[in-house]
Amino acid sequence: MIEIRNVSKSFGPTMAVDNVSLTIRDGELFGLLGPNGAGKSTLINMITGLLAQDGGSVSFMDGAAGKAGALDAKAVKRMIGLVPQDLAFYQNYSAIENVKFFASLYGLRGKALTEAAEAALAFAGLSDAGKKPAKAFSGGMKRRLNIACGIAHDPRVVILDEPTVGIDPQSRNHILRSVEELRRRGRTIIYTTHYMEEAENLCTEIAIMDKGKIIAQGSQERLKLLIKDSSGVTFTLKRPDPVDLGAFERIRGVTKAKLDELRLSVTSEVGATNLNELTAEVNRQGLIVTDISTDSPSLETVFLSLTGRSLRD
Amino acid sequence: MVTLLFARHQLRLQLRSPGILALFVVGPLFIIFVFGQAFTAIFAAGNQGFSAMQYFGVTLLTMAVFQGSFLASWAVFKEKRSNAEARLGVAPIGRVSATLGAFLGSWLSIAAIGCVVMALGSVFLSIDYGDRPWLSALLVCVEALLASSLGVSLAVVFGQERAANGVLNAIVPLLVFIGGGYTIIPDSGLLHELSRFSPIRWINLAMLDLALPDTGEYVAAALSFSLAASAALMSIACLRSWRKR
Repeated sequence: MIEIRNVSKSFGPTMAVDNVSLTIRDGELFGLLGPNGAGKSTLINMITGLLAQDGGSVSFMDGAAGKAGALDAKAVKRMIGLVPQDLAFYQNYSAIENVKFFASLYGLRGKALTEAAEAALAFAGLSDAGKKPAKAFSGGMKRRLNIACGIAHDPRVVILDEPTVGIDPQSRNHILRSVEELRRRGRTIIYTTHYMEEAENLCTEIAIMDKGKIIAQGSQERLKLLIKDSSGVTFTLKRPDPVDLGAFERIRGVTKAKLDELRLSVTSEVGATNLNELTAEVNRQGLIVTDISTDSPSLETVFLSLTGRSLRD
Repeated sequence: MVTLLFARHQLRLQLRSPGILALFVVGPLFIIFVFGQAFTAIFAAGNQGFSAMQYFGVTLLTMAVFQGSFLASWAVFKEKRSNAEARLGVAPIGRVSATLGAFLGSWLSIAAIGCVVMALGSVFLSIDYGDRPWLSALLVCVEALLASSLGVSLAVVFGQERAANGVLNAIVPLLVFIGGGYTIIPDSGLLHELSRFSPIRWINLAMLDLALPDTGEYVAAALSFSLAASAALMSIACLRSWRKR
């Protein structure tokens, strides 16, 4: 478990991270979202120990049975695998030389090192390209090599900083599946991204950062509730039959019902859970329905709603 | 162990840049040849007791070895340039070990380059390195130690490649010049006095002495000066790395 308590960091007059507290549980795929300059990378750098915080604490707790308390710096470094946003490897090395070099920093040697490097390359879908120089790789292959270099030592905590920026859909798909696989293997993952659908599909817990602060945190469902003040159901009718809108508006929780040609829209208070009554009313009035849809905000809607739509520098 | 790992890493990366290595070997030989030819008449007229080719065969060799400090600086900054710095920062390794590894790897490559230039100069340009060429090779290796420690320490202390290389660009030609790299140092005057502060001067004197009268008179002074300076520079680099950790 990673405990971040009241962490702050400023660069001159700029408060990059302002009193941030987070708890990341073991095995969690934690999404860290935020616009450019929100403070995500600064926070990541403080979690990894690359940057010293001005105040607060970052503790890695050992979840293993019989152990308790924070781990020391060296033990923490051994359990972290970092996949930086920038491609961080040597262009003149082959893929396997790169992976071997970075894995050897964690004490792996000989046969264990070779096996770990080959496993990491296979995981990244680069087994066949292991001997090619990294500079000959495509953008997607380089991104995957970047991941292989970060996970070859089998870290318990993997930090991925925007790992899918600027790559083709195939490589992106492979990376996303790889991240899911890491989670299935029980790794704790911190994932920063600008792509909301990635966070929506992958992350079990999400924190949204803006201007150095965590402005929202929780499961996706919880975040969506933050901006939702009503829920709606739309029935698409087969024919333009007359509809008794008043009957719908008398149902518990319904605030408004309206008919727009073949679309019957019913708006309810959040948490009204009155879908059964609504469908019963549709049946009672003999309406023939071809489609039912419920409106639910996407993570992107939540993100834009919380961080604003104006452009950032 | 980490130090050796980084030294091997440094050597391997340099071997992957054959163009740079070729430049460090062929460049000095070409310059020695040009200077040797261009100043033949002047040296003959000046009755120096040795030819221009012989003089520049020594002084431009030591200049080439001293310029290896740029390779050492590159060894430190390559991690930044390849963005690998963050990965290394997260790994459970000591900064001092990494710095010592960069120093060791650079030293080996600079010394190897110096010895190759010396051997090729001897064969193709008939430069005489004396009856005890191993002693001249030892001087080259110790000068490589100095060059490597200078490059690494400036890189670690300044932290910015432009700043470190800017200082190197000022220091290296200056020390080579006052060390007699481009011209014979007179027996008196300002240049003579200044030359005492250049480690290159002592190495040049020792190598020229080995090549001609072979008394070995300056060898001990050259080795002591270079080793002491190198130790001081690496102490600064290690202390700085330790404080940065």
